[in-house]
Amino acid sequence: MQAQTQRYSVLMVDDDPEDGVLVQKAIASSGPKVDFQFVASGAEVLDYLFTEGRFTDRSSAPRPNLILLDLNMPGVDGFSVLKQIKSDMDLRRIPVVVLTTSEAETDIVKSYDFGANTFITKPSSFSDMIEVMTSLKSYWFDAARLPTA
Amino acid sequence: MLAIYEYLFGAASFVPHGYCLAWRPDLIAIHALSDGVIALSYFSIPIALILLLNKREDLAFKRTFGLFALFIFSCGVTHLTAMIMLWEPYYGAQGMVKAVTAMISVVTAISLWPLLPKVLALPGPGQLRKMNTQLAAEIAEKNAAQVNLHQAYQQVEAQVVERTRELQALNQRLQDDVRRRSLLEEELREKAAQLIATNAELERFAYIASHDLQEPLRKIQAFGDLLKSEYETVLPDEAVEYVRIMQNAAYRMNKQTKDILTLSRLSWDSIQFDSLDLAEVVEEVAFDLKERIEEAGGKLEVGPLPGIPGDRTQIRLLMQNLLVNAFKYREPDSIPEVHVEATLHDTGAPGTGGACVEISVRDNGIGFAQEDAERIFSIFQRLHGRSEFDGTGIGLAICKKIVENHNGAIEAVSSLGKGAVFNIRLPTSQPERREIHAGTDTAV
Repeated sequence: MQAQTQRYSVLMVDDDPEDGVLVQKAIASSGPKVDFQFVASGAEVLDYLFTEGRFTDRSSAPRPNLILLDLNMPGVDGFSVLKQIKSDMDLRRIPVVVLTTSEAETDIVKSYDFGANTFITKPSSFSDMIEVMTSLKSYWFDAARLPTA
Repeated sequence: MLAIYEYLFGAASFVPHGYCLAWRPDLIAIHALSDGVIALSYFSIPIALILLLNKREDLAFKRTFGLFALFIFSCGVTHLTAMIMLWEPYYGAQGMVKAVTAMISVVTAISLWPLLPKVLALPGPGQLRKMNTQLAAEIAEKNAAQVNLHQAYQQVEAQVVERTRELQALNQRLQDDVRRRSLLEEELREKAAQLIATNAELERFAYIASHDLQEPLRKIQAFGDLLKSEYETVLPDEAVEYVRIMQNAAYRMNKQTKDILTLSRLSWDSIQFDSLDLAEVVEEVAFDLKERIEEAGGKLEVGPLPGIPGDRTQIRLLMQNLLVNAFKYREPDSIPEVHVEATLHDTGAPGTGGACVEISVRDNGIGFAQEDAERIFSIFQRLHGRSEFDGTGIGLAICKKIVENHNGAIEAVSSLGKGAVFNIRLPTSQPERREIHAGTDTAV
């Protein structure tokens, strides 16, 4: 375990802002504080990550340490976002957690094939959501080592 | 030479025969004429015979005919000489002629006697007539036979024509059948395509049920939780209770949609028959239920279980549902005891009647009335209120579907308060793979 010396940042992309609220609340009630950013579409998350569109100013779009990615989104869907992240020499190092309502085996397989680091089906209760967020934070920000850059 | 001539025709010392007749003209005339006519007649007979011989080459006894001709001829010569002798006394010549005639007569007579039986053996005209009649009859018979044969031939020919016509008709019918069948096959293919389309729709529906319907439910539950965790202290107790009821309802509906999804998937997912160790499957399920069993102080006894061909996921779900039920439906303070046993039978597999495994899950729970034994396998059929026993009313429908997918049969035997036994018969051999539906899971 490494001592927490930096403040981690989580970026969530989901076309359902209500889920954004739930996740944000869950993250807030699970251990150390992290920055939480939320965007509501695939196109927007790409702008965010590549500092384009309304995110040209880096300060408005801090580089995330973990991405929570929804699959089923209108327009640019989760798989396209995943593909773009994982084919970028720099962004590919950011762990991507697919957080979706889907339980389908094909979605699970495809996600890992496209380079997802974890696949999680959204839990139905808030307490389970807190548990998931606690595990994620504990794993990625505590147990695992991530590149500092 | 002269001596021979003298011997033959020397007439000097003899008188002619007419002299003996005193030259009486009447006697001379009758002798001369008779001998002449006889001679002429005798000469004509060999001519007729020779002509006959020449004409009838198939004539029997030709040599004898020839001898006879010579004999008659020589007789004729004898009579001719006798006629000449009336006037000229050539007694030597006449004697020679007679001698020659005598020799021929002897030879002819001798050759005639042995011939007699042979001639007699030849068919007489009467016999020939009879034979002829017989022959005619035979010919008539043969003709009649030929007519019959011809008629038979015509009959056969007619039959051949008839059969040919029948065959042609049959052929036509067969062709029609083939055409109809290919039409039916075409229809079947269309139906199959429709079925696949329907199944795809079902799949979409199942996905919508699991995804789109569960999504709002998940929200109700999650925000209910959030409401409670953040505002429980400031909300009146009654409000907190309302939230709890709402969440319970959402939870139940969530479970129900999931069960429906499971059941619908059992109808269209492809099934994979592997050789399963039933004991291992039950052990896994028992491990999952361990806590629940221990909590109730219950006991699960598992007898020796055989290997069976089956779909691992489905058989696991089947055993899980049956065991959960076996432990669930009991009096609150009773100690649940559940037995799982299996017996092998050489016959009795549903449908085929082949070898089968009979698995029984027996409990000592509250049981049910035997008249409900069929009803409990129908979807949404519940025998108890929700306050008594939790459940979606889909579990046993899922069990039945799984058993049917495995070409088996399930039945329940019970009476109220006496526990229940669920008997499952599964065939010991399965087709390698049963394609129910080429379904795939896809994200919506």
